[in-house]
Amino acid sequence: MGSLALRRAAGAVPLLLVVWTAAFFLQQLIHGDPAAYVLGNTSTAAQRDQLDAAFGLHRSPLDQYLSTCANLLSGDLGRSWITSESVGRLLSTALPVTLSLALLSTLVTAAVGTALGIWAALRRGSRVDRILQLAAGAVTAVPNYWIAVGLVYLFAIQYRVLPATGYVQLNQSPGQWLQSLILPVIALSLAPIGPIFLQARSAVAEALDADYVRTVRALGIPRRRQVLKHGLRNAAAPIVTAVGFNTVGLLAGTVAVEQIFNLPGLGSQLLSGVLGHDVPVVQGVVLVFAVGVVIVNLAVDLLIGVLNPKARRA
Amino acid sequence: MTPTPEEVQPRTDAWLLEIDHLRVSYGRRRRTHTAVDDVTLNVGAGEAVGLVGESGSGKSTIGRAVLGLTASSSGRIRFEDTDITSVPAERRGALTADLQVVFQDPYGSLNPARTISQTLTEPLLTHRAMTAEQARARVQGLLDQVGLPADAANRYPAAFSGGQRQRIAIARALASNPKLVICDEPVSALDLSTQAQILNLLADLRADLGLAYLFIGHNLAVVRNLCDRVVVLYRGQVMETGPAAQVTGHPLHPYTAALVAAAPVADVAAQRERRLARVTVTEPLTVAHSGCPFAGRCPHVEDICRQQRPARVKVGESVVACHLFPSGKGDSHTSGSVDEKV
Repeated sequence: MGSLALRRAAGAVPLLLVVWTAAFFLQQLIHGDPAAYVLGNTSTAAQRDQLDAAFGLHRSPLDQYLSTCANLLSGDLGRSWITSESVGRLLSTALPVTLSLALLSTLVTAAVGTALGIWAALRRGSRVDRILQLAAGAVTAVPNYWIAVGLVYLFAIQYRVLPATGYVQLNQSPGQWLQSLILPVIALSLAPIGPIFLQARSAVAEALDADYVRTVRALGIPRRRQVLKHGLRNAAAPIVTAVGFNTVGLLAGTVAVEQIFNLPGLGSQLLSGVLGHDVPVVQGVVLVFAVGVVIVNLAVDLLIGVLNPKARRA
Repeated sequence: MTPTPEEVQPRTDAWLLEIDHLRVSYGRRRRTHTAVDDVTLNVGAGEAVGLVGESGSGKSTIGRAVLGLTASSSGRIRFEDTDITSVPAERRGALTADLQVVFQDPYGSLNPARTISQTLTEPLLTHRAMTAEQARARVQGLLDQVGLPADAANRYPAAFSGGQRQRIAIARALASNPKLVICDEPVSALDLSTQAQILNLLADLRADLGLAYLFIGHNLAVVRNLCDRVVVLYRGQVMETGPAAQVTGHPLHPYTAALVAAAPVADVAAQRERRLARVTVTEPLTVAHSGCPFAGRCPHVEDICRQQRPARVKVGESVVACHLFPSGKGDSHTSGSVDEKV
């Protein structure tokens, strides 16, 4: 399994390079002079030239790109054009926020989706099952920012039980940290619960229909054990895959949700970077997201290997 | 419904399994399909009873009803004097230890994610409250009993062939020392040479452990070799019952005769002879009537067959439901309306 992890990590290097390159050149397509964005409309041509020189923008895009690559190899992600802060430092303060948000949301979606899926699979065709399936379709269709605004209105403005915005670090106060994340996590989790629920429901239903479950039923094995040991065990692989897939989606969802709840995470950095033409920041955030996607996919593959002895040998 | 003679007859034998006028219907209201229609059969302790019929004759449904996997519509199932008719498998508790099963598909019936040892110890830990140490010893004993190497315990089902998997399924059924094993076509999914090995194993185990079998199959030759008695089923109804050699060697019911003839023999002349006994379809199978279910395919069909369901008649050691053997007529000293359970 360790060798699989190593092979996958090596395979991810070209992927990350492509993402890094795309993040740079897509920024080049944006119209206008970066220095003008940074300095504003009232800037003089001399000021802009000075800034261009400082950022190395007078060189050709290819030259600029190659020098970012060289810096990346030495571990330097560059500096923000707007705040001149090191992108590495910026990412290291923003990452814990997004990580907290994404991990909690993944746990919530996996737990709620799977539990409801098992519940519905045991009551296939019942009214509860049909209502849950309908609800799964509905929550999947509702955008997370809409839910976020609704949650803020309800819990922060109407009832004032939870903060509308802001973030408290985990090591400062775990309780407040959790409080500041409850609404964002719900907003982010609701939509992915739908597909995870549907996947869990059908996978568990299929596993419970399998001959070996019928056999252990006939052998008098208790129902609880049938479902958890035999049903869920063999339904786990598609559920894990669905959770991994939706975690990748969650990462994208953080951009909007962090903005609404004013969380200083990667998504906020990405948005302000794109709006401010801050190429090094955008490149850095996109790279971190890409690494996140690679890690999630690798984790899914390793978990499936643990769950399925047949895949383990491959 | 007035009680028939067989219902008021006091029970003389202690049967292990008694199936009484069992009916199993699927679907609701007008779309009902009766898979098992008024089936009565018994299995004594240590006895092997074969249940044969073509696909869709309801033989597997009877097995499922006995196991509590399918709900019966009416009738009664008793196991060791306990009424289990409406007790689903989950609520049978310790009783399932005495009543075990081997299913047809050895590829589907073993959980691919569990080792052989885990599969075999599951019924032990559930029914026999063994310690892990005792269970491990029992697993070795079981593997030995079904002719598998001791190192099979820690492997997964994927590592075994169909015949070996069926041995594992048999070992699992034996784990709790059952009295009756339902064998639901246990060799139908295997190739011929493997079939013979598994059948020999089942016969040996029965002799060694005093097991009773309800052996469900469609191959008469297989059933004849393993079973004491045979019950022939057609479209959910019992056509003929009797000693295995009698039913397969000298079939009375035209359907049994057709079933016997359907299995080819090596002798060309004999095979030509047998072909004459083959069924001819005289009306579509979908035609429903109140008479004999075989009337539409029977070479000896008469008007009465379509109108009236034939009574069960005892002929020699067999019991047959066919108008060719009217009650009170025929072989004067052996024939007569059945008034005892068979």
